[in-house]
Amino acid sequence: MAIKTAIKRNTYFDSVSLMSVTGRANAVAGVDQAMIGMGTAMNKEVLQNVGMLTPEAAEAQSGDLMIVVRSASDEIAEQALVEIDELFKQKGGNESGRKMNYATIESAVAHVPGANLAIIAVAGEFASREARRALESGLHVMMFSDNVSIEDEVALKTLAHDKGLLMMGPDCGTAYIGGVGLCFANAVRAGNIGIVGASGTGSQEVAARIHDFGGGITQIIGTGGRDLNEKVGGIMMIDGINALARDPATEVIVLVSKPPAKSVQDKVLAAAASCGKPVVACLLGGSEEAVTKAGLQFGKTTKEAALKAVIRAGRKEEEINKRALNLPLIAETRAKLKPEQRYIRALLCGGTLCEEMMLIAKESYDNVYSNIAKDPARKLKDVSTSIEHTFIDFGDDDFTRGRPHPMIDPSQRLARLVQEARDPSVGVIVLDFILGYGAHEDPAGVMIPALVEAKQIAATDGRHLEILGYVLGTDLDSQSLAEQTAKLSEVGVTIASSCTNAGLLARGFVSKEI
Amino acid sequence: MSSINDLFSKVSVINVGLEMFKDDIEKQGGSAVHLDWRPPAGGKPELIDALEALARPEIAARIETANQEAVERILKSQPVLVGFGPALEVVPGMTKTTILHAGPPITWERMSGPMKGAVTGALVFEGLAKNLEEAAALAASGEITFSPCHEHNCVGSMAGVTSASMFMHIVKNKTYGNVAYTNLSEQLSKILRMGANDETVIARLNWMSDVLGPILREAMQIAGEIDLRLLLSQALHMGDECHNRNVAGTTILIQKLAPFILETSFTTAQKREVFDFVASSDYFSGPTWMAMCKCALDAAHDVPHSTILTTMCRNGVEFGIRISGVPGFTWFTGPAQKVIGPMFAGYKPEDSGLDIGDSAITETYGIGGFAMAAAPAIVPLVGGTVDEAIGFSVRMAEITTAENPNVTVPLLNFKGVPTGIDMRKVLQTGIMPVINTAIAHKEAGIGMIGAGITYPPMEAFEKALLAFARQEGVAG
Amino acid sequence: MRAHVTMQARSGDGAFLARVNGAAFAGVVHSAFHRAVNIACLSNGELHTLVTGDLDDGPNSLVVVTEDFLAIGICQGDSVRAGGGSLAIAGKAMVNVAGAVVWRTPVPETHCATGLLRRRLAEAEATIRCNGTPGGFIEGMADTEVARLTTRMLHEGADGLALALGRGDTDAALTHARRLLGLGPGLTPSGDDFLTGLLAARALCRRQADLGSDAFAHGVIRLAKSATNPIAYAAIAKAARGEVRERVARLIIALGSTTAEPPSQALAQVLAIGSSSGTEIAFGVIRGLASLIDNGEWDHGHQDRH
Repeated sequence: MAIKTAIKRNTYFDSVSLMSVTGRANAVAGVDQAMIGMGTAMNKEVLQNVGMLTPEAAEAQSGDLMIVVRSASDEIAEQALVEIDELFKQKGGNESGRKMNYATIESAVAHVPGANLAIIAVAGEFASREARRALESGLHVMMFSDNVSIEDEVALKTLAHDKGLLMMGPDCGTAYIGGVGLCFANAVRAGNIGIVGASGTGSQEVAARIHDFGGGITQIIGTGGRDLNEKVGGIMMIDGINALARDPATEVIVLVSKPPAKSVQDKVLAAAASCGKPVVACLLGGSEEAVTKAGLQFGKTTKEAALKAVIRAGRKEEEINKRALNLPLIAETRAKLKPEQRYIRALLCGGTLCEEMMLIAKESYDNVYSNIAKDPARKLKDVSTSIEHTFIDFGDDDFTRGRPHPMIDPSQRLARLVQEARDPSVGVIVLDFILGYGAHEDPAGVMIPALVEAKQIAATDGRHLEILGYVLGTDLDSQSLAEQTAKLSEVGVTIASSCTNAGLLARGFVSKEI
Repeated sequence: MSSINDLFSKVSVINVGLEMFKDDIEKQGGSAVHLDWRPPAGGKPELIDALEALARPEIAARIETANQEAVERILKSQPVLVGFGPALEVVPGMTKTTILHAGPPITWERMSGPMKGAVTGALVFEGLAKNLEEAAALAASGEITFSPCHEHNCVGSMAGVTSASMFMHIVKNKTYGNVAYTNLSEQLSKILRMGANDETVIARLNWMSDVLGPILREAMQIAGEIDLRLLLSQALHMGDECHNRNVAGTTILIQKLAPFILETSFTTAQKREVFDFVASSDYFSGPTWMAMCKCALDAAHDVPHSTILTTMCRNGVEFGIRISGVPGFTWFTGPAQKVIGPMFAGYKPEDSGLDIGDSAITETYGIGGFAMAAAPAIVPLVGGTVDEAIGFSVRMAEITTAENPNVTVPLLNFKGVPTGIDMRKVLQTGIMPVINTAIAHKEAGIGMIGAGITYPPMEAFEKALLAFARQEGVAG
Repeated sequence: MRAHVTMQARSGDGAFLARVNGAAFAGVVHSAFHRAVNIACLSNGELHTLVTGDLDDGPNSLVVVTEDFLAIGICQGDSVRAGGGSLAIAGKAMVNVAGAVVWRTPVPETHCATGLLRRRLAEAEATIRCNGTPGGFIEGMADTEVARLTTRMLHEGADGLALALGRGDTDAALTHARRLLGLGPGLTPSGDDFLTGLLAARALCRRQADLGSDAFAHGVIRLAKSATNPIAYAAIAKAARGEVRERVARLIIALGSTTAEPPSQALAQVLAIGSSSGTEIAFGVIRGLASLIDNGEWDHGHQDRH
């Protein structure tokens, strides 16, 4: 048995505090017994009789407070003294009741017991430094900031990997950890499906679909958009898969990403295949063959990935409302459009939503342009002017440099909506409305006047303008999904039930044959 | 360190940047604290590069070791009061025509109103000029040597003007052997150090060098030495921060001195005058603590590679700092700032002179503004709440290196005062050292018109960082 | 600085009020808690106490209309000056005593019959065992060797003391008291609380009310000075002189005089003191009164007391 003593000289705590600390001190793990009392001769005699009178305690005066701990080892006893001291600090209440501001991560870590994650959302040039300090202080990191060099990203992710920490981002907009949605996230049911996503809105979309199909989520780990780049090598995606593999609550894993570089794809798929849990890989535009060859399930679209995951997670297929595509609606809408109304204009906030809808359009059309197109020939030279089928990601750097994200500030999209409505070659305008934490409190509401104006412009011109809306959200989100949908329907917006369906509907509306 | 599975069961967030993310986490019942974050070095690329260069592991390790050494020297210093004597006899490099002043070096032409007032008053007091006009002409003539107190092991409160006949505290560092000096408090508000210089001021100075100084000198000859760090620590426990609030410190200092003053050979009437003089203002011990701090910080200067501040001082025009690792009297300066605080009745903020005096040596040591939590009674000076006063002390811990175990703050569970300001941390966090100080009228001849708090200019730290980085060979 | 909070004293010990009103009083804060501040008086060394408005009057105490002393920033080492009707604590607080009600320890005007007292004491003891707070005399706060041994030693000391007092053996009584002083958990150790209750009960109900005749009380004061901390000592020294806080005096009166009120309410008020302090004090009161029955003082001559 080890006995350790601490003496607080001439220190008076009221009896209620002393008793409460004594009770809690005896409950500290590994403590055989703890004695907290004034250093009087009689109390010392009690200690003597139970063999706990240390030389330090013997020296205590009647005005001193003695803290004597007996436990199995010196280390435990020392640790217990530290914890008891903490109890006194809480009791002292000198700092605890006051709201303190901390200026540095180190200081916050020192003062906030249990802090385990830093969210870094500062200008890119400062973000790496803060993230490094967080990792060095033992915190996991979610880095919302972008404009961070790829060298810094590799260095941070390597550091995190070596320390056994998560380094989500840079440019990680969505995570859902320990039941808490971080940055841009929807309120979803708890469940048994974990997501590792390289794209924020992609993860949000898959999670919302899983929720809609009756499934539930354990964690959403974001990696940031560049994780599967050759230089980064999927460090975070692989660490994320392994973390979910070890998470007892997670039974099925979904990966969400754009197609990775080949070498990285092999590594990631290999890691997924050996993780011991079923994995659905939704690599938008990626190779089904590579995924199935690795022994994983392929999710061609976000909706398909969610559906496969929910079924693997134990939900009966026949009980799921799969939200089948409304084919009569396509025919009906097509009939309303004039022959020259041939083009889709998608004005979107969610990068992955834009990506997925564009992929769907490209399956049917070649003349699909975007500010985020990889093919230089299909990349918009001037982002302010649309060409034929145009898909704009308003969340891309072209639109966000020095401005808030369109999920928060809708002004650029409002103006663009009216501009597209004037174009007689436009058949359908597609808009997304993202709900959840971090998003606008009424994303549909702020668009209503512009929607009415757009419809009027077309009507004055003597044509029907189809506006297709998709609301990414769940019935648990604080912005009511039902109300947002109703607001849009009221002004004549057609509502899609998923990103995938929105893409298919838009493509169908302007198609010349079924 | 938290394992990933701990994270999955309960997330506790430190939020840096967009505050709405913290709000959303709290809405979900999660726990989050929002950091009061600012871009390092005001976001200036050149400075960020220098900070990054100094953060390279091998450089950082070298600096850390040096800083430990410097801080240890501050903490281990045991300054004791050993005597009093005229500046000419005790201060190194003092001559009959030398005037020491507060702050970094400055020429007569550039001096602020209060400092000019003090200089001319001192020249009259020394008998070098018959009146203030003559004194001004003499000061401008080039026959007077102006030199910073700090360059003579001295500190001077407010204008800091110190001339040959003025009596000085002699404070010896028992640990390291160096000696520091400062002159005596003139008490009250209409005084030379605040720029006042009429006959009453000169008469008081005469009495101080004829009666007060000699009595204190003889008393200390009998007393031997007085442990100032011990008294300082007691004063903090009694609610002083020992820069703007000195009521406890003055009481315990005079308590120590009184028996020896009684034993001196002076008349009862003269001793009575001394006690009345001490009782006339709480400020009596203010200079004593400054000399104590100077004595400890001089011992910490000149530790190669150290980024610890050893001096903060102001001459009414410029604010100057010195860095331990930049040897000798290398000053990094920026414009002196306004002092914000309540004014005496009848004065307006536009009457204020700029921040002046060597008294920021107390903050450099870790008391004054840094120990505001010890002195909730000075809260009205800050114009805030007790919580904010405590906040100042907690905040200063973010730019310092250690806590001083010998000088503690009861209200913070007897935490030691934040000690060893690290220039790098100031620039990284954008948190400036907070300084409690008095406000002098901007014109010569008027004196103290208020008190308040102020901060150094960032510019001084920026210059220091770049020079230090160059010296360490890590920046152009 | 005029930063201080101004507070009003609602009531206070007569002697303390007189010191604040008249001759200057100087002291230093000895210890500060949320609801009490102890001030060591520099001239006579006695502890004086400020308590918040929800607490009761007591010897050397002022009841001040405020909620929390720590919130004002009062802390150990603050200087206290008083005179001319107010008491200033550092630059932090000013307590105004004008209009404060003068308090003195209430004393029993009558003595009830021995039989009734015995019955009340038995009932009170049963209530304490049932409703009291564990910590000292009542076991169960922490199941540790230290706690069990402490409780055993408290009972041994208390039983031995009661027997010795019952047979009028002052030397033996002091031997047992010595083993109670400073014994047990809490700011005021349990043994000290017990002695406070016991001494107060005896002092307030004895035939000879003056301390001079009680060698035991004298002896305990002498022993307590070095055996426990200054806060506990102050309470013991006052109790031995028949000065005790209002709630305890009310309990002694409810138990010992010919009042029709059942003592249960007064007992509940005492049990609410501190953590387990009230429980120990109540035990002390019961044993103190019982000792007066046992040594025959209760039956004789109480009618000529007033």
